[in-house]
Amino acid sequence: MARISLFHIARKNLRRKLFRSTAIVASVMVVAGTLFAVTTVIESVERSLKRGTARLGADIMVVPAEAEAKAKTALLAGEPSIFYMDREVEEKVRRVRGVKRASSQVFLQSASYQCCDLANMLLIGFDPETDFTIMPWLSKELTRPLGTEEVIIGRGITAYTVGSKIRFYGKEFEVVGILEETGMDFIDNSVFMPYDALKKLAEESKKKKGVVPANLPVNKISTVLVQVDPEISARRVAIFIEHDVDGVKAIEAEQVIASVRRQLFILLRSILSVSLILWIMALLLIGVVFSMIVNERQREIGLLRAMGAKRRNIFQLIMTEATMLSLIGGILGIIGGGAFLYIFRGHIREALNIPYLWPSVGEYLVLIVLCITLSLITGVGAALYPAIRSMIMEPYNAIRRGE
Amino acid sequence: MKKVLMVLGLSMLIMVLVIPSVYAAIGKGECYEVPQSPAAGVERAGVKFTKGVAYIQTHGGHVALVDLVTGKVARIPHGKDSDALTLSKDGKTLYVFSLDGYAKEIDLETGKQTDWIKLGKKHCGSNIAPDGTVWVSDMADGHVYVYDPKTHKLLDSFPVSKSICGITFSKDGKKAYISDMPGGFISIVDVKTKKVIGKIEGVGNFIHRARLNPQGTEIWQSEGNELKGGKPYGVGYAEAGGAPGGVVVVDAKTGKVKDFIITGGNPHDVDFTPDGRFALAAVRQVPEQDDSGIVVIDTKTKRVVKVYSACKKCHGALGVVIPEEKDGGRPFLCGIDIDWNRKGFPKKAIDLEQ
Repeated sequence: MARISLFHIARKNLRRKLFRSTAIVASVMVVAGTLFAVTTVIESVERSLKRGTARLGADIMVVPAEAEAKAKTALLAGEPSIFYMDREVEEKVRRVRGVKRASSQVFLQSASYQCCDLANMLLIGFDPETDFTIMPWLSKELTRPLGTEEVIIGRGITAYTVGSKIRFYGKEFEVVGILEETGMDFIDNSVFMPYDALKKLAEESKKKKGVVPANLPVNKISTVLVQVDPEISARRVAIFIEHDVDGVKAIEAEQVIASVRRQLFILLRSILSVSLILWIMALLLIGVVFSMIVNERQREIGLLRAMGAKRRNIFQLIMTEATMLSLIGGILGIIGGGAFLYIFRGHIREALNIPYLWPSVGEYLVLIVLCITLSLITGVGAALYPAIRSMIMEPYNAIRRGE
Repeated sequence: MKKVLMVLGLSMLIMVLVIPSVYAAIGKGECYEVPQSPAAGVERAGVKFTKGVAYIQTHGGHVALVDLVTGKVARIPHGKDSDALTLSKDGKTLYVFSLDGYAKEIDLETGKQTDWIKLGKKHCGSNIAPDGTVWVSDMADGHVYVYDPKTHKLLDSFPVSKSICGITFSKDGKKAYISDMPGGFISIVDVKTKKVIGKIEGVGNFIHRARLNPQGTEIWQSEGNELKGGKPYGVGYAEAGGAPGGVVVVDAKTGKVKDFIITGGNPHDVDFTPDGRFALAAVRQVPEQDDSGIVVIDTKTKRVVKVYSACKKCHGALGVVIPEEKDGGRPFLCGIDIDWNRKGFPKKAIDLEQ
């Protein structure tokens, strides 16, 4: 005769009351799904900000004072913004106390749609002699200097690959490198080339017929990227720069991350509060349902005890049922939350208007394990009291009361 | 002729005997007079200031002015709730620092005010550093923000402790004493390196601004303990059954607390007469007066010798009402700086006088 396992009885019990089981699974699923989605969004933004600022490679970004808001929007939302200041700012910044390295960049927006050109793209010209953000990457990946007709593109420009030809203002460039994905549109959707190449492009565009001339001001730069001396904080150096150099704003990379964190925290705090309420409700609901289950099944429990089942077996039975329900709820919640994130990823990105990069596989695994653990705690915690109550029932009394 | 000589002689005698005794009946400083008993050398209680205008920062978006000669009050509106203020050495400019982290300069001669510029987060105290910059404390992030009055810009910022307020400099200008409010300690900062080099602990319960006396020997630290019936009251920081608010006197050399002078209320700052003979404490809610004011302390006897009303004349008599939700509907004083060379209010800067 085949042995009937606890798992088998529990499964039968759950199937017998399908609606009730489904309701419990659904409540755990909502909690797990919400938690999974929210934590994934937090993790994504954190990850992309860290990677983005690391890729930026600078502690401070110096921009014209009046362009502070534009620069922050460009950094965080990736909207191509154009602003200029005098080239001499770079030298002034370099002389400020605490500045270890400084390198300027010039921004130019590619012309709006024109045949065969890539439109509304941010073209970033950098100085290969002073640059410390693009060149180190190049020396590792390209092992040679960048030519005047070569460009590197961000990972977000998906239509091109290494070796592709790309046209701006009627001039063709070869893509020789693609930066790793950062989640920051400012980097992911930009095209990088040496300053001389950008200058040449602007000059040639003016001579070509049927090409919109590139409006690149002479002796102007858009930003100065600064690496600070490790002995001194970026915050102080930013203050020194703003004091010593007129008309500029020094934006600290850390400050940008902190402001996004604050922004995100306000938004997610309300969602997390709702999740907490949901969790408490689910806990209470499951507790009540299992209490009802134990009351309903007093006769069955009594009979099982009379047939030789130990107290421990009864406890295990209830707990197995709770574990199965919460595990199924947790898994379905993760699938549901994940599906929600995937389907609405575009909307989420748009609504947040901040860098967004999916977590790595390892981080996903940690999040999944956390969510399943929480689901189990919810189900098992809620069923604990009814399980103990069922365990201590006397068989005879249980059968009598059950009748 | 004899008669003439006799009259002259008598006049001379009167001049020699009476005038010095009349003169001796009044103890004189540069800016005050202390009445004395006819028996020379015995001072009477009280002091009469012969010049001086006190500028006191408030939570009402204006600086309160008290004419120390007449006791009249006036105000300079600047628009932001503030705690910190500092008067320039020449007495012509007032630097104000707001509770939302902004700085403004007020030209007392012309009444012109600069725009607010952002420095830190929540400013509490300020003082002029030996190099002419203004050090401004921030109670939100524990940093000192260095304001450059020449360029009207932020020059530097450095961390000190958690929630700092008072800043005062040693006589030689090498050290700064910076009070941490909830910590109840004073950090000693090397002015040159801007690094914390020491700490004076156990100064008080909830301390605010402090000032080194003109001799450079004592730090007078305001300690706000507002009590009513032995219980913490208002926006005070007292412990039930604790001592009422007062000024803690710390020996600058040894770092030991020497004395505690009870003023009552919630003292927030102290300034001195140039010779250090009197200390003037800005006190929120002076006991039994339902007013904020300036409490004058004789530094020799450590006794309160005079109290000026700073708020009631406007908020009481003129009926300038403070909404209940703001500081419990009561006027609050904070930092104080006194111009001992000024006689009368800077007319172009004030908008109200009472």
